[in-house]
Amino acid sequence: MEEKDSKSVLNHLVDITKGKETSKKLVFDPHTQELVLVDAKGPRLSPDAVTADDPTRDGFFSR
Amino acid sequence: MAWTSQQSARLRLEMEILERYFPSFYLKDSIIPGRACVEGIIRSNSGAEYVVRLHVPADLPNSVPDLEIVSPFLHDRFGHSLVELGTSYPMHLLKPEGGLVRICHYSASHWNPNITFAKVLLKIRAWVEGYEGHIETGFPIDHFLPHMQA
Repeated sequence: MEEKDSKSVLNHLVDITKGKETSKKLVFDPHTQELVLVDAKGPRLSPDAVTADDPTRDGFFSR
Repeated sequence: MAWTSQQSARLRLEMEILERYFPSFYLKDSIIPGRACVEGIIRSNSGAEYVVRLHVPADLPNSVPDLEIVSPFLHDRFGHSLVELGTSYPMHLLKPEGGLVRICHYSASHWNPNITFAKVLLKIRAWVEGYEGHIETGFPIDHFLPHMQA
């Protein structure tokens, strides 16, 4: 099931930030420009969708 | 000084990738290394639009590109301008330049020449969502987006 409401996306980002395992993954759909939560083991959202989890897990540099 | 042939090819490749993933982004001042930038709109899930400018490093692809939010003028939940916050660890911000917010995305030590502009913009896409989360909840952006590990 897809979720793209801001609250669900933010909750997922918090889980990633805390290093929690999740059953969902965040993908970026270039057609809608939305971040969408999908089942980690489910089918791809679309052939062009790319994971946004990995760049997010990489973290942000701060001085 | 002009782009080398390898740099020109890399710029073309970057723009081809952006056309697929962030089609609003276009190249400005592409002739002059050090002045070229890529600018376009990133839209959050809420529908808010942010004009984002990525400065193409003169030594493309060897340095981290600077990244600015051109508009809107961003404030935190408490009404302070993000520019006035200056360098901000919890908000993932670098020292502003030219009155524009600059976002920390990759450190020089984590950068490698294989990282594309599209991957940088994907992180900025997440930052925008984190920023809106901050506005909604008051938590700093690093509540939603982690720091890089040293």
